[in-house]
Amino acid sequence: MDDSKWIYEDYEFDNRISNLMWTIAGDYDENMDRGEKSFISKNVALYHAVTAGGRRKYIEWTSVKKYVISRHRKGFDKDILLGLIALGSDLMIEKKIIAERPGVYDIRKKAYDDMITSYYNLHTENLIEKTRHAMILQKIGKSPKIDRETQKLLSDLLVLQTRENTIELLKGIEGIYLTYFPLFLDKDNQEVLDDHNNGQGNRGDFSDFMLEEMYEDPEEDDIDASIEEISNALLGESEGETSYNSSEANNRIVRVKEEDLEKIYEKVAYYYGTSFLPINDVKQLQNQVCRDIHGNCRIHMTDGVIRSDSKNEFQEKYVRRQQTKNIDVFRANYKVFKRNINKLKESLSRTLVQEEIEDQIPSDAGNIVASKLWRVNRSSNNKVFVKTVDNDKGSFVVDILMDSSGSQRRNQPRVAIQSYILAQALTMVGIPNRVLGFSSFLDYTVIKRFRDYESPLSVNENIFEYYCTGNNRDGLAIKATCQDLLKRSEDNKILIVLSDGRPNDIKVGKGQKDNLQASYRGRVAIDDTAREVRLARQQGILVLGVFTGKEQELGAEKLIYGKDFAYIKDINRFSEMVIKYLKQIIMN
Amino acid sequence: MELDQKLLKQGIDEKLINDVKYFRKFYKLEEKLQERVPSTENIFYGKDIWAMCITAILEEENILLSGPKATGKNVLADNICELFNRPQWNTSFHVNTDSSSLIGTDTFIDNEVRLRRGSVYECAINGGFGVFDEINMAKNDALVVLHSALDYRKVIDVPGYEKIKLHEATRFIGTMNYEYAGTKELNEALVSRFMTIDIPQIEEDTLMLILREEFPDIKEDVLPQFAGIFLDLQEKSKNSEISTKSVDLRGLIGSLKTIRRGLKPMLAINMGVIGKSFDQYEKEIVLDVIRTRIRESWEASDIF
Repeated sequence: MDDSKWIYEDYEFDNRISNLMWTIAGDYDENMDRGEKSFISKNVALYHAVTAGGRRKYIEWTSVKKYVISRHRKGFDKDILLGLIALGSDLMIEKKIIAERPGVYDIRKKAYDDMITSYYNLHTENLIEKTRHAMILQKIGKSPKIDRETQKLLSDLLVLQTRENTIELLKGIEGIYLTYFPLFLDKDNQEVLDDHNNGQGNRGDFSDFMLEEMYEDPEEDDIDASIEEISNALLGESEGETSYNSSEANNRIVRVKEEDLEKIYEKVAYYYGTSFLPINDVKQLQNQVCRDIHGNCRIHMTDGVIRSDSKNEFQEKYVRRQQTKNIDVFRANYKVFKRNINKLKESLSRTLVQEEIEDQIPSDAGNIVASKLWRVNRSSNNKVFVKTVDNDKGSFVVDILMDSSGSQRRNQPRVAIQSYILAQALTMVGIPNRVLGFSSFLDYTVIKRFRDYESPLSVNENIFEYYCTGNNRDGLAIKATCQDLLKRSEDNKILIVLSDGRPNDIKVGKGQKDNLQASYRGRVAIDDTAREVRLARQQGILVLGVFTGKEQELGAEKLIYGKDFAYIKDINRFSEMVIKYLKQIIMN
Repeated sequence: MELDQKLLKQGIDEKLINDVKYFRKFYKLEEKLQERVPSTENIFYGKDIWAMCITAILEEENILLSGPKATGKNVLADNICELFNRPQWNTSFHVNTDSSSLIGTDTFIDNEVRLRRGSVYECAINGGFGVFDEINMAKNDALVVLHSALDYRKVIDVPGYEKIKLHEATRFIGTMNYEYAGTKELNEALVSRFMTIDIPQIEEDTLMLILREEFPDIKEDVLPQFAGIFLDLQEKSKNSEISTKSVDLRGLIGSLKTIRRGLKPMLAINMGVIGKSFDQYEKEIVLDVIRTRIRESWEASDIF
């Protein structure tokens, strides 16, 4: 079913479904399993959300699970049993839900209408499928043509409607199973199973859900791990292609031949996506920022492999994989994050509104107020003017610069999520903001742009493309970012750098030139980064360093950022902290 | 008094009611002010909240009622004035509220300069209950002039005005909702002059009581559905899935009134509840909730 995914690809609709489920279940901590979702149509999807909510409200799954496991051990057919439970429990909860919420009747009707169309060509020998079909027909008031066995099973199942609780329901199910299926199984075991599996593939139903509940799926992690392994191996290989001098490895200086430089550029474009700047602009930028200690470095500004022309399918897949990984973490706690976004947005907009108000103060100088002029010579209160006290601090622009070097890998999804939250909140209140990630690859400092200042809200999802690899040359990245930031017309320019306080890059020597300077790490790197931060501040940019590393490295971070620096033990507080800082800036 | 009886029914200590009776007897009300005493049909439900309010007022404290919208803050404020039989001066606060709108301003009448008294001034000399509606909408400096009135000094002494001594029965009741855009954090010095009472969100029993009182003729079997709409949405907004815009008791009651008048329930709810939100996506979520509660085929005659 190719079009089956459309409904849930639409994230808003997916959320609508969850909301309906939560409303019915009355518990906002539940999640809907994939197996419970229906792909037939929107109406059916909505109805399935209702039944999913009902299942959570009225049925104790632990008892059902225990029951299924124990019966399975005794030789009951698991699929048939689950099919029966699905039918029986749906019957029971439908009745209860409709008693509680009469409107569900209409929702169900619409869903059934859609379902019948898709069931039109039902060819199955599976008794349960037939019964399900007959049941739906009967409920929408049609009299189905069915054989006697189906008819009988149907009426037996309908009795279950009135079962009050889970245990009663299971007792009924057991009775039905014993009456109908031992025979059935002996006769044609294999066929029934096959049939059922087919049906399952199409519908994605209840039994999937049960199975998921019972067994955790270990496969996914394995796949992730293996992909990561392969990709690392490949990246490592590519580094090996350049002349990597092992004797200098300790000092981490890599020598590259002149003729390889072009090759490296190609490589960078291949792995990180082509540059979004025209070549001349890149040259100009490099002339401006790649000086002194960064003399041999180059800058690559890109939108990443997915959003730029890229022929590197593998890398694209890799990034998509990372993106899915980040989004999965996000979705798992979607509710919490959404609440965070709202909270931050509200609190920020409150502060903004509050600060924007102009005060009009009665005064003895200023703009004259005609309606107060009668006071002159009559009243002792001579304040017939108003003075406008403008509280305006001007406009704001925010750059978020995230360290995407390998050292951040353990935090990857959380950093992505926090930046996303932050960007969402900022975009919603209308503060232009740009989100960048930086890492380095040989002599290149790659700056990946996730969103630009004026990008619409929807672009923020690109932030989930964030992944960590390579080294980090913080000083150069800050310098390059500030170039664009300085061009902005806003009065208050704010740069937020999220890093682990360990600038760490190799040194690339070019051609025959002898470079005896040490590589970009330790004291040298810290001094350089600190210098860039000070320089940015001198130019009027407010730089906030957010430190996520280990406590013993706090010292380095303090050296780099001096004032305006924050240490967060829990990366999940990143967005909250930044908003607090922004509020402070807005208020003073 | 009818209100006394109703409160006793809610389970409020009779001793408290007796104290209130004593208060009423002690501070006799002038005839001309009688019309300023509000009298509403609606009664606030909540035994503990009532006890907190009554004791605080008896002990000469000012009270600050804070809570989400549609929790009955203003009903409670009116009820309190009625219970204590004191005239009410109500001031709705906004960003431009300043000392002249609270205390008074010079005006020119009959060829002479006179003070046109503001609500707080009137309240102070008549021993009224001043209600500061949405107190956190005003700028904090506007309220600084009230500090001496709100604490033990009980005077208003502002340059350019006479010093006013507060009547002994004067109390101030602030109401606030801290979630609206444009609201401010209240100044600590101001908050410390109030006893703050958090009004909780409405619960099912209370909501049913209110609806039943408002609509005695509603059919008993559909009443829980309408209460359920509000409770479902309240829960949803508590979980940040939707904003508080459509969690609107006034809207729900309004819808029910139009249904009683003959409007189709789905249309009425559309107008009173769904329409309160202007975000298309949020509307859909709200509509989903309502669709589980209200049959599309229902007519007004199914409800009343």
